[in-house]
Amino acid sequence: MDISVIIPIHEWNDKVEKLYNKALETISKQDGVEDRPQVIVVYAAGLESNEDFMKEISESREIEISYLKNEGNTDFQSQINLGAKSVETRFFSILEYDDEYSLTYFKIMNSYITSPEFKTIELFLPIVVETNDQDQALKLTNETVWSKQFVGENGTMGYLNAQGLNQYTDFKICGALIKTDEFNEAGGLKSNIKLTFQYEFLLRYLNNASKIYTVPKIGYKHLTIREGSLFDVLGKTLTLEERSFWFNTAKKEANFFNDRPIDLSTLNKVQADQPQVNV
Amino acid sequence: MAEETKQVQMTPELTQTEKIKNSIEQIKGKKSKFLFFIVSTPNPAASIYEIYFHATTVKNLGYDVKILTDTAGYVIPDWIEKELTDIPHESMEQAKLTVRPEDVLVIPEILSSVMEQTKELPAIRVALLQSIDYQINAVMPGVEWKTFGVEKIITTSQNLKDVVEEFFGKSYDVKVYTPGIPEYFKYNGELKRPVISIVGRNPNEIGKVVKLFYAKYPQYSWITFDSMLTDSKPPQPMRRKDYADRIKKNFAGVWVDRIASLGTFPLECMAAGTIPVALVPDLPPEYILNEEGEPKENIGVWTNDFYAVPLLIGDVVTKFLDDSIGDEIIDTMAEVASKYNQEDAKKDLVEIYQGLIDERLDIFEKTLEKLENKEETITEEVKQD
Repeated sequence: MDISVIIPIHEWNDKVEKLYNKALETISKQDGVEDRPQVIVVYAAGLESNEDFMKEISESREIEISYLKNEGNTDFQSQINLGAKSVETRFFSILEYDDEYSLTYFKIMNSYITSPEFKTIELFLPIVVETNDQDQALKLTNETVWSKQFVGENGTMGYLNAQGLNQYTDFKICGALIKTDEFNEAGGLKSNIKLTFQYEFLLRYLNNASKIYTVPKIGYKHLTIREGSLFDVLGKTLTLEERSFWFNTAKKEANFFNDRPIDLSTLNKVQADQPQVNV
Repeated sequence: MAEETKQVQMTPELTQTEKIKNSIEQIKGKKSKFLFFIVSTPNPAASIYEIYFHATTVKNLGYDVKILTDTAGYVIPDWIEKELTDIPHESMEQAKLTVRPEDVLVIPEILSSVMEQTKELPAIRVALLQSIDYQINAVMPGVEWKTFGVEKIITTSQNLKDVVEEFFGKSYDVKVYTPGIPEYFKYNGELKRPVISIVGRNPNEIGKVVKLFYAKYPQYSWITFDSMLTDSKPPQPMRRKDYADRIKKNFAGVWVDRIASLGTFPLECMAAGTIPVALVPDLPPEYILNEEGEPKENIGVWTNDFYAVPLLIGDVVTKFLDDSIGDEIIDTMAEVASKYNQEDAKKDLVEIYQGLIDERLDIFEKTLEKLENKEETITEEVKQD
C-alpha cells in the first residue's frame, strides 16, 4: 500500500489511550484491502515514558508502527511535518488519535490514487462526518465542492478552487491523502499560524496550482469538540476580531512556502482593546 | 377468331403471373424496399433510436432502406451515432414513392394515420409497437390496427404482446424481439460522482421529487441532480455516447415514467453500474420480475409509491457515501442489462425482417404455382378445343 498514516500525540492519559486504541482499530479492521498502511506515531517531548504503553496497544493490532519523538516545538503542525519527513510512501494521511477512519477508507483511497484519471491530484480530501463526544453526527465537511452552487461556472465539481475557498473556509485535512513529496516541497504545515493553519495550507496548495479533490465518500469521523482540545480552547476564547486576524494572516501567508514569523502587533492591539471582564 | 378471343381472355392472368414472377425475382435479388416511418421529437427518445437501429440492421442485409419523415423540416437527430442515421431521408409530404408488393412499410404505433392512409397499398405493412400508451392514444375508440389492414406487429417485450392479445385478440401476428443497449453504456469500473441522473416523462413530477428530497434531507443539499443535458447555454440534448459517459460517472439514476413500456433508462443505468431509483410504470418492465412474476433483487430500487421515491433516493445516497453498495448489486444489474445487447437484438431483427420477406416469397411462389397450373389447364383446354 502506497499510504502511510501519521498519528500526532501531544498528551497521554487514560482517555487518550482509549481513543488511540479505537483509532488504531479503524486501521486494523479495514475491509477490501489485504495490507495495512505504515503508521508513524509522533509524540510530544515529555511523553517518552508512555512509549511502551503505545507499543503495547499497537502490538495487539498487528500494524507496523514507528515512533518519533518531537523535540522542541510540540504543536500539531510540527508533529505532522516531522512525521512527513519519515514517510516512505507516495501518500500519507493524518489521523488524530480521537478520530476514526471509515471501514473502507483505504480501499476507497487506494482506488483513487491508482486511477489514471486522478493521477494529477496532489491532495484527496475525504468527506468528514463531524461528531460530538456522544458520537452523534453533527454535520459533514469537505462535501461542499460537490455542490454546483459552490463550484461556480468556472470550476469543476469535486475540485476545490481558490475562489470557493476564499468564500467558504470550512475544510479539514485530517483524513486527507496528501502526496508526500508535494507536501514537503510546499513547506508542510505552518506552526506560526494558529487556528487557520489548515486553511492556509489549502490556499497555498491552490495558489501553487496543486489539485485538491474531494473523494465523495465518508472516509473519516472527526470528533469536533473534545473538551480541552486546541480547537475547543480556541473556539471558546477567540473573539471575532481575533478569528478575522488569523484568516487574513492565512490569506497573506498562503503566498509563501516558508513558515514566516507573524507580525502579532495587530492581534495584540485587538486583544488589548478587548474589554476586561473579571469573573 | 376463336384463337384471338381465347388469347384476349388469357392476357390478364398472364400479366399477373408475370407480375408475381417479377416480384419473386425482386425478392430473390434483395430488391425489396424498406420504408421506415418516423416522427419528429424535441427530445432524444429511445424509440427513435430504435427505429434507426432497425433501419440500419435491414440496410446491412443489403436492402434498399429509406426513412420517411413526418415533416419536410425534419432534422436528422445528431444525438444518434452517424453510422445509424446514414440512411436516405424523405418527407412523407413530398415523397413520390412507388410501392410494390415485395416492399415493406414499418410504421410506428403513434402513426395510426399512416396506417390508415396506406391501407390500399400492396406492400407488407408492419406496426412497430414500442409504447402501448401511444398505441392506445393514437386510435379512436372501437378502432384498431386491423381496421387499417395492419395485422403484423413487431414489439419490444412479451408484456406488450400480452397486452395486445388481451385487448385486441390473438389474431395479430406479433413478433417479439429484445432491444439492445449499446456497448458504450457498459460499466468499466468508473469511480462514481455524488450526482444523480434524473429522467422522466413529466417535468412537474421530476421537480417534485427533487424538492421533496431536499426538504427531507437538508444535509444532502450539496447532492446534484443531473437532467442529462449539455452544459451549454441553453442546454441541449446530449449525444447518446456522451449521455452514456455521463450516466457511467453518476452513481444513481432516478426514473419516473408511468407510461413507459420497456424502460430503456433503467436498463442503461444498470449497464452503466448506476443504481436506478424508479417508480414502477403502469406496465412493469419484464426485466424487474423473475420467472414467478416476483420483483427481482439487486437491480436497483423500485417502488409503486411516488412519494417513496425521494426517501429511497436518500437511502441510496447514504449507502453510496458509506460505500456500502454491494458488488452483488453491480454484478446483478450488469447481468440483467447484458441480456439487452445489440448483437442479440440484431440477430432477432434479421430473423424478423427476413422472415417477413420469406413469408411473402412463399405466398408468391405458391400463388405462382397455382396460376401456372391454371394456365396449363387453360392451355390444355385450348388445345383440346
